[in-house]
Amino acid sequence: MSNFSLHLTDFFPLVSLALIIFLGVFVLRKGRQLTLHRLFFAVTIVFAVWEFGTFMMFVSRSDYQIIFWDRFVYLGVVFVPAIQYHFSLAATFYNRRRRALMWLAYALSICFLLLSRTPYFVDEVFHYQWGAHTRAQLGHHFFLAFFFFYIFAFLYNFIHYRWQSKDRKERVRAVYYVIAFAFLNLVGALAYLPAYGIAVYPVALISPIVFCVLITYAIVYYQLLDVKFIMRRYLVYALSFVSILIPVAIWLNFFYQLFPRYLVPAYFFLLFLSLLAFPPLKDEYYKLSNKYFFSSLYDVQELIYNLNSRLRASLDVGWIFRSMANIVMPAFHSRAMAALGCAEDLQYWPVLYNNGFHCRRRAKMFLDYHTLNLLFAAGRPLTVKSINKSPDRQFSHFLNRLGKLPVDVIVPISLKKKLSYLLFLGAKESGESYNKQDLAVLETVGVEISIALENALLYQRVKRFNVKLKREIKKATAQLQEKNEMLQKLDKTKDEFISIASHQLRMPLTSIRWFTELLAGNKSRNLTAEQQEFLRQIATSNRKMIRLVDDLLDVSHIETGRKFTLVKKNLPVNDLIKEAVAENLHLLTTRRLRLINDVPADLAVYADPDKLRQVWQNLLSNATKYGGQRKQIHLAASLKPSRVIFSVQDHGIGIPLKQQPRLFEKFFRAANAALRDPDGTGLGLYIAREIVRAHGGELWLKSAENKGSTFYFSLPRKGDHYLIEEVPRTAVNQTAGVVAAGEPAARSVTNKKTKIKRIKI
Amino acid sequence: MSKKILIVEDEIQLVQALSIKLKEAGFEVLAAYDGIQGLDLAEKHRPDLILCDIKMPKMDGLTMLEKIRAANWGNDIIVMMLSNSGSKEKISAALTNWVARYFVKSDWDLEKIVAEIKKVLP
Repeated sequence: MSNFSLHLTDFFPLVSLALIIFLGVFVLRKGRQLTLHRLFFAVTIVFAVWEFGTFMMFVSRSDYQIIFWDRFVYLGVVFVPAIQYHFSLAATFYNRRRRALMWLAYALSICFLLLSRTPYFVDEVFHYQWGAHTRAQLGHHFFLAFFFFYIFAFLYNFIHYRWQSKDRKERVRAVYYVIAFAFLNLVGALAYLPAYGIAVYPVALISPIVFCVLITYAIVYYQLLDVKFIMRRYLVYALSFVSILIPVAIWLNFFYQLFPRYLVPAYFFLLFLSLLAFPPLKDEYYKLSNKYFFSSLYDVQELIYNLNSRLRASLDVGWIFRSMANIVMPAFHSRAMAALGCAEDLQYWPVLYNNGFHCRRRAKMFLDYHTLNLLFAAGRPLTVKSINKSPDRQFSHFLNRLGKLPVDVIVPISLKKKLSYLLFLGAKESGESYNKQDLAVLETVGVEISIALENALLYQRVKRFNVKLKREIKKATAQLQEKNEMLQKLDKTKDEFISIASHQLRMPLTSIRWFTELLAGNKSRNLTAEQQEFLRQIATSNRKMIRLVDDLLDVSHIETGRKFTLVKKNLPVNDLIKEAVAENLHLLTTRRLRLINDVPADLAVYADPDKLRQVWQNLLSNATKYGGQRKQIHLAASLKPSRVIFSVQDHGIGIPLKQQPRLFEKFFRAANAALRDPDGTGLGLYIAREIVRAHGGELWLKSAENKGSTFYFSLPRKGDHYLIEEVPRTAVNQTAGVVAAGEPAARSVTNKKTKIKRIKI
Repeated sequence: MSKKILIVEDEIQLVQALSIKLKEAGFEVLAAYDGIQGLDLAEKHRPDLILCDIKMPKMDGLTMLEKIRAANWGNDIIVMMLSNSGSKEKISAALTNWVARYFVKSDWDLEKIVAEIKKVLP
């Protein structure tokens, strides 16, 4: 009697029952407020009723019980077409005809429910190898017609929807619906066969298992998150459960037949074993499922690590977006990714990076304040679906605009508390929505990106600053160059001026000088003493003028930085002094100044004669001008190891201490000097010092007001070049009065045999 | 026989003043007003001494000097330069061609110039 033995097939309805109830509850929990989910739950309930009734029918022994449980089965089954039809409408769309058909289905379901309580529906029991079923009566034939009509009707609804819908996701979803429900109902319908006396293996009873797998996937497709993970967990638990249940059933059966008395301890033993076996089994299935079904799943840690190392490699904004896309897109299997940057004024958002979205190359998007605020306030990735729920009209407007781009997730990136970038991720290739883990990863990615961007922007700013600096320097250099050229031009002009001044001014001055001299020669001996005095006055003024021109030319040479070109030769110092004295003789005698010259007669220096004479002249002229009356002027030379110091000392008005530092400025004249000699130019000392410096020496003074001044100047004595002890005694040198250095190069002028006398210094 | 002096100077007034003074001193004086004329007269008259300006029209003094020194007759002529500028570059350029004296005109009295000349042409 098979009535008392448990078959493997007896467990089919139990497993199916467990799975379908589990699925129904799960779906309901994920979307309690959605009609679609409620209807799905209702579908699972009616199928659960069927499975439970069938199980009870299988384990029932008496025909009475079998008939009772079969009628229980029909409590659910009569509603199967109506509820499924309703579900198909909820999943696709309603119209008047469909709605009418739906209500008709419910009405007929009620009729058949009532009919199923009578013997006109099912009666008698048909026992077969794997179970038992009641035999179908007349009412059941009608029910079957009703059943298949609606099954095909709602399948048609989905197929129709599949062809009508333009949304790819919806089409995929419809395909899932069709396959899942077709399998459930058509395979499930095999369960009717025993009612017509055809014994068939109860494969119909496992159809809900397949259905569960398919439908969960399809229903929750875009409505809920974590599909894949829930699915995985679900599948793993189901598989583990089944894997334990099957051997347990086999063993129980075995035990029951061998040791019926030990059934209860065997139960406990197997329960214990099952509990032990469940965790490792579950883990194994997890591994398997990961390997074969979810290979697309990414390793979060690895993704973040890769991103991190890639981002660290460059400071280029384009590179940052590119490397992010290269890492994130394959992980999520995103179909598109774009980055929008914020323009300065926050008015529009240009697309900085685009990979996959269909938009213009230089597209930009206008975002209102409200939207930005929402994105900023969220501070984390938002799915478009979740934003969609927000009742904000402004935002739905924004999303309508987004609708042109199939965007799934928006990741706001803030830099320095300012919303600066938006990342748009397109739908996944698989069509799934982004789950919680994806969003968490995206949030981390957002943070990484923001840090990288901040660095990049900082670097850019530094670079820009550098470029600007370079440009500024270039500009400044160009300006300097321009100035330099201008200065060079100016210098040239100055040269021309010097040349003009030297020629054009000196020529008439020379002319005056020479003709005055001729006139003063008084060849005809007819000039009166007064006329001769006038001529002397003319000569004095003429010389003053010549001196002024010379001084100005000297200054101009010094100013242009050319200083002096020195043509040095051996010079007996006393010759220069004599010449300078001759220049100033007139004033020296009128002031009755006594000149004491302590410069050794045979002291010679190696210097430029014209220039050094000028120094002596200037100093002597100052000494005579400001040296008072009937006083002494003392000229001296002191020899030091490295230099020779000359001094010109007077006992005149001196120079006020305050004005001494300014004495060597050009055109400067001490206050008391200006009173005494209004004609001075204030150039003499300046030029004298420049000349001495050009020779490598220095000029300075010691002075006290009303006591007198001493001017010193030094000339270096390094080696033979600057101070030498040779005094060439040429014919020229022996000429008294006129001092001119002999020219050794003049072949016909000098006898080349010069006596050389060493002076001990 | 009196010594021959050639003055080459573009400023007529200066030539005038110089020649008066030199004639008084007993020299025979020739005058030219530019380098080419000066060269011409120098070749024709073979003067004992040439007083020569530097800046002149047509040919400047230094060029003229070079040409005189290049000619076989001009090697022994004493040349003294007259100039307005104290530029030492020009002086040294002159010195390489054996110039006896270099006068910056405005710094020199006629008397002294004559004295210098007398030193070399007794």
